[in-house]
Amino acid sequence: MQLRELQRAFQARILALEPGIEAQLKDARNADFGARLDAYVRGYRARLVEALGTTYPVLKLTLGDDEFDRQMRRYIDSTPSRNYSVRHYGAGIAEHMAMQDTGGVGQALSELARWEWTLADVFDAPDDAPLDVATLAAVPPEAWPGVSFTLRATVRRFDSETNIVEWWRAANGLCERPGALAPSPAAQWLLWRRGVKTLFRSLDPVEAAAFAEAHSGATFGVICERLAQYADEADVAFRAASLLRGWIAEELIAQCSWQDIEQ
Amino acid sequence: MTQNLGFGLGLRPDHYEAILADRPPVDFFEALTENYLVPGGKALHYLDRIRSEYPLVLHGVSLSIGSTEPLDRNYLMALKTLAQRVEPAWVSDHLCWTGASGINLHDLMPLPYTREALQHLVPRIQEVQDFLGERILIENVSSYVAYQASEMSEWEFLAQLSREADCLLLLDVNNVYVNSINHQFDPDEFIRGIPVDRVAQIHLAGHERQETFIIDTHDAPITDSVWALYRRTCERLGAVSTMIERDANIPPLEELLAELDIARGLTDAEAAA
Repeated sequence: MQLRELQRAFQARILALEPGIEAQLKDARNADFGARLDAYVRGYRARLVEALGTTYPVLKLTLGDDEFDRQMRRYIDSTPSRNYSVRHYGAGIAEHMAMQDTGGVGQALSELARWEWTLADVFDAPDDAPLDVATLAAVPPEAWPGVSFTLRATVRRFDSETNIVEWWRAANGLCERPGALAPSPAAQWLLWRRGVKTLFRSLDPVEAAAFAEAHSGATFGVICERLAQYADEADVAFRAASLLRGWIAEELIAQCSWQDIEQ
Repeated sequence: MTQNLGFGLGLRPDHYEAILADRPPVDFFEALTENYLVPGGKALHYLDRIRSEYPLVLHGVSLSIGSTEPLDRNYLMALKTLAQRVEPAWVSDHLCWTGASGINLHDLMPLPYTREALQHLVPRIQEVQDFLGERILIENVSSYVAYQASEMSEWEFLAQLSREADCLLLLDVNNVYVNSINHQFDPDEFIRGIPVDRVAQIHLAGHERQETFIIDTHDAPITDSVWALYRRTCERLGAVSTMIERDANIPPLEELLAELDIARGLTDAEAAA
């Protein structure tokens, strides 16, 4: 058997438990041969379960070690890794959990997985410098309606329909644990990194609407138009400026740009 | 010959703060390449800070130099970018394959020791070295099964490979010991068969003994048998950069520093003799 076939046969034994490689290996009749082969077959699954446990610590805590192990092995057997870094394995866990029979909490478990994946995503997102407030001071007053913003590369928005954020905070000792995972009023969250520290907070509906516009690259004028749906016209500019100051202070914005206006 | 960096430790996140706060007497750190192939954040932040204080080498697990798949250009590009960032003394990876058909098993799968495998590996190592602009170190791996097709011993294979590909070797003394039990050979014959001028680094680690074989777990202190083999390795190789590789059950830094002192003591005794 040539090298290519040898590797494919060995891999098929590990992934699909297909026999075939045994004939190419020495000492296949020895009593400990199965245990030796298992070092690869079981080792593959154990390694990925461990890696997923690192990415999804609260999901693991919630399910318990045995159920987490069972759920992750199902995922592993249906989803081989195709990335050189094990860090990227597990992107489909939220979808996987949504499809499992988990006693009516599938949506919450899926949401929890999506939350933890988002945290991981923020954790190693690109470093970029926050906007210096002096840059904004250079914006000519007449250019303000056309100013648009680039958010920091670490910024993520997250929508929840269950109490998973409270659940996650409780698991990390930050609040009392809710009685159970359960549906809750829709909420919107902002996650980002300041230096190496990952942060998150909730967004009220007005700020969420304005932030969604900023996130999509809308101009300050469009953000104000959106706020006008929620506030008196006289208060819109003040509210928009107030939000913007807060976003800059929290280091959520990387850049702003505007077009020079001919005098 | 590459420079002797002295006695190093694997760089692990558990120790980031202690390293920066205490500046422990470690001559160099070995960083796991894949942990730092990320766009930004904590891992790169600490790597940069520790690099500014200590010499560094990069040690990868995903090169898959023995795979019959084409080399992963994205991986190589990311590796080169990281190497340009931290300027390691050298880059190493393993003599293994990690997957086929686009799948990554995230394991160091053994290769058969055949002429065919050598002919496959040599141009691939040369391609990597040309791409990185430097010689790389290839490490011997632990294995639990052996191929019928093998035509030579592991050490003969490594010796030929390093000569034909003009690469360097990272000699994992623990893996030599593990394989000597698993495949029943004399570990000293292995050490005697390795070309002295090709070994640029030594790894030491712990393992887990099963009933009839050993699993290379890197989760325990180095055993007496491995220390003894290390001493005999030093007799043959002289002073070579040596590091302790602990990947799980990470103890406080002091414990690893104490193990590193054992390595220093053994080589000092060897030098005195």
